[in-house]
Amino acid sequence: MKRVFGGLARLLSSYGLACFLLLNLFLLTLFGTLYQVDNGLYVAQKRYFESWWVVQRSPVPLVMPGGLTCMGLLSLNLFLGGLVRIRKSARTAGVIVIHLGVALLLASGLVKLQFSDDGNLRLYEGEQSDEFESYYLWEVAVWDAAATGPVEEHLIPHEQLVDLSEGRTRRFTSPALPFELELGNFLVNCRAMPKGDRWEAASPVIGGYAFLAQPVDPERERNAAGLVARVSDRATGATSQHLLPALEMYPATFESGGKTWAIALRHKRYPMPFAIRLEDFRKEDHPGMNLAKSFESDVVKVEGGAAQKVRIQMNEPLRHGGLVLFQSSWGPEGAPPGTPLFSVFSVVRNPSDFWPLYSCIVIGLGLLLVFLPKLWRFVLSQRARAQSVGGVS
Amino acid sequence: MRRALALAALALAACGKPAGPVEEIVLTRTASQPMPVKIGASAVDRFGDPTGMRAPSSDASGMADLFAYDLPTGWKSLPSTSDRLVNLLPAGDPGASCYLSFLGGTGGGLEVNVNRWRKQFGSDPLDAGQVEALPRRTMLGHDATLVEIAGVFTGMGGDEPREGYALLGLISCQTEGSLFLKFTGPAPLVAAERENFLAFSASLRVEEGAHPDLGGGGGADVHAHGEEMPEAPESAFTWTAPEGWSQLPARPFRDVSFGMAGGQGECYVSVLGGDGGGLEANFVRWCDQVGRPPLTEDEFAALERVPFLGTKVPLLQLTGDFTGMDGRTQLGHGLIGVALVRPGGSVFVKLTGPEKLVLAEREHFLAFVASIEERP
Repeated sequence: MKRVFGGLARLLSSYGLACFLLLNLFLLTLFGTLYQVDNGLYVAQKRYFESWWVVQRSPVPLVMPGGLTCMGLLSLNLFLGGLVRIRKSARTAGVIVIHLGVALLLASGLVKLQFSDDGNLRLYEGEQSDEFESYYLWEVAVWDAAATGPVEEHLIPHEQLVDLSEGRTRRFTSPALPFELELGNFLVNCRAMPKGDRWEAASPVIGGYAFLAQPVDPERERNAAGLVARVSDRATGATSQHLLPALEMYPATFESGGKTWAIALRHKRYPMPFAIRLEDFRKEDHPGMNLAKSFESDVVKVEGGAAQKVRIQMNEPLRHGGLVLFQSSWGPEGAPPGTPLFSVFSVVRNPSDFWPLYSCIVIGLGLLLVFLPKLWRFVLSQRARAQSVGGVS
Repeated sequence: MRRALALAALALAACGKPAGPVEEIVLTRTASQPMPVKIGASAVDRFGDPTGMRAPSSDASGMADLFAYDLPTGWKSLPSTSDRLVNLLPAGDPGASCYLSFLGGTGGGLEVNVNRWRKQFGSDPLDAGQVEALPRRTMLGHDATLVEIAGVFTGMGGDEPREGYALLGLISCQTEGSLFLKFTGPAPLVAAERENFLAFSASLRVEEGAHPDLGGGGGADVHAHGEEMPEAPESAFTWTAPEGWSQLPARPFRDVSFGMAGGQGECYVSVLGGDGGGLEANFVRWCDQVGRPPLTEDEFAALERVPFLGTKVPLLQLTGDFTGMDGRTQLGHGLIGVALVRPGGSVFVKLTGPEKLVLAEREHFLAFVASIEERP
């Protein structure tokens, strides 16, 4: 048994495995990038980098470990080979420190994968918001339709919605709500259209409207999901059915418990610990071209009654409250001169935001520990050689 | 179709029965700015126009009056419905039907709809090349594809199969909306009434004075050729639309838009406050849209000048791969445009489409530009 474990430990900590995994990582990056061209970033990321295994038929038929397997084994290989089994001495101290830095870098990736949120915030000049919304994730929100100020929203998360296709439904209730919800008929991309006899409905026809299924766009953020909600009043037993397309001007409303309620399917929203108000957005084009050379936003960060002016521009994000706001885009695209523009910020909440910086510092220290003694020994040897040559002459 | 209906039925059935354990909504959050609510909003209020086009409302009673046509001998007019803007009983045969319908957007495109009809007859689908090779006709001023199918007709809702049936139809799919004229019936009847059907389709027109706005918000434009367009109340101009051009629904940034050649080409007038960024900036933008570098000073000075709103303005004519405001790039396209830049408001007229079409429409474009006048 001991031999088996010993052999396994040698295999997992071997240079050969490290080389294989690095080669695999190269192939994942290569084929993932090629796959992204036709299938979009989101799908490529899920298929090649957030998977255990990848089975591909083109451009080269191949079965290989996915990003999760590859990075997991690489971490194990690094831990066993670079930290556990490595000979500990003053000469290897630098190498150990470098491996610690790389381990920190890998850990930052894992933490980002598991615990980060990302989305976007779109503002026209004068608009203010204290929340950003996901690119891909959905949620159903229910709230008191009569509320005009801050209101408590009851939320059903993405994970409880996306499997509700092909006849599957799920019921939801809350002590705070006088009705029961039944959700189903989830579609990844659809439009609510007046039902005629010229197209097949992908949902029940409600009030003359139904969902027209659309092809799933590989660029996931371009899809507009749809869902069917059935509301049952717990006191009266009265029911109503509603189409909930993500693309809608107003939420569905219904009466229950003496109140009017609103229900909507929308991109998942994340609260921010501060609000951002866009004061001014500026775009500068390349001379003689309609291609943006730079664009920047003057915003006011409002937090706890205090307001602070901040400029967000390319490569100069706003970092605050655990969030990073990047100036990422603007629109409407191709709008003629003089058209009001909106500014788009990519918003990331990443607990390991600074870990890559720390790991670079650690790796830098390790490299100094490795190379400074070598440099020092080289300098000493050169000096000795110069002295010996001088002595001979 | 059956599978979709089965699924829909399953979903409906499932909605009426308990569906497993009830889960508690545990997530709550206080939103500082709730989403705007319109209590009792109608479907149109809620769903707006997701395709850029408002589809016909359920009340089509006013739409039937939009259309005029020459009713073939022996055919009967039936009341229109929400789906059938024109509803006819061909040759008085109760087993046959002929109707015109409209769908906002492309409805999935020509190939999808041709094959949808073929599927209703159990026919194999056609590929894109075969669909492209189908004969063409003109319907309501739009290029339309003629579809002829025979076999066992199952209809749209999985109806009882009817053997020995045939379909004769016209489909016009465009971004702004799609028109379907569908004639089904016993095959001998359809064959006998073929010429009547084609004559009827060619005679379809919009009643004089009727607004072409199908469904109240958009719709296929169906003006008679060569007529002076009805003056849109929001437009600051009057104009004479060239033959073959049809007015399109209102779009952002545009004063008026026209389509041509079955929606392949497009011309629009836009008005911007002030100098709209200036003539040079807009010409640079147009050059950029077809992927060519900006004009040099010499090229700019050499541009042909054409009459427009009481003055002469440079005419820009470009060809290349056109990237529109939707970000899509279309290869081998052309662009012809004029711009009148004035401090009090600038006017832009632009024609885009396949290169051959744009060149063929050049004279129409110039005539259109010359016909534009400020509304008194």
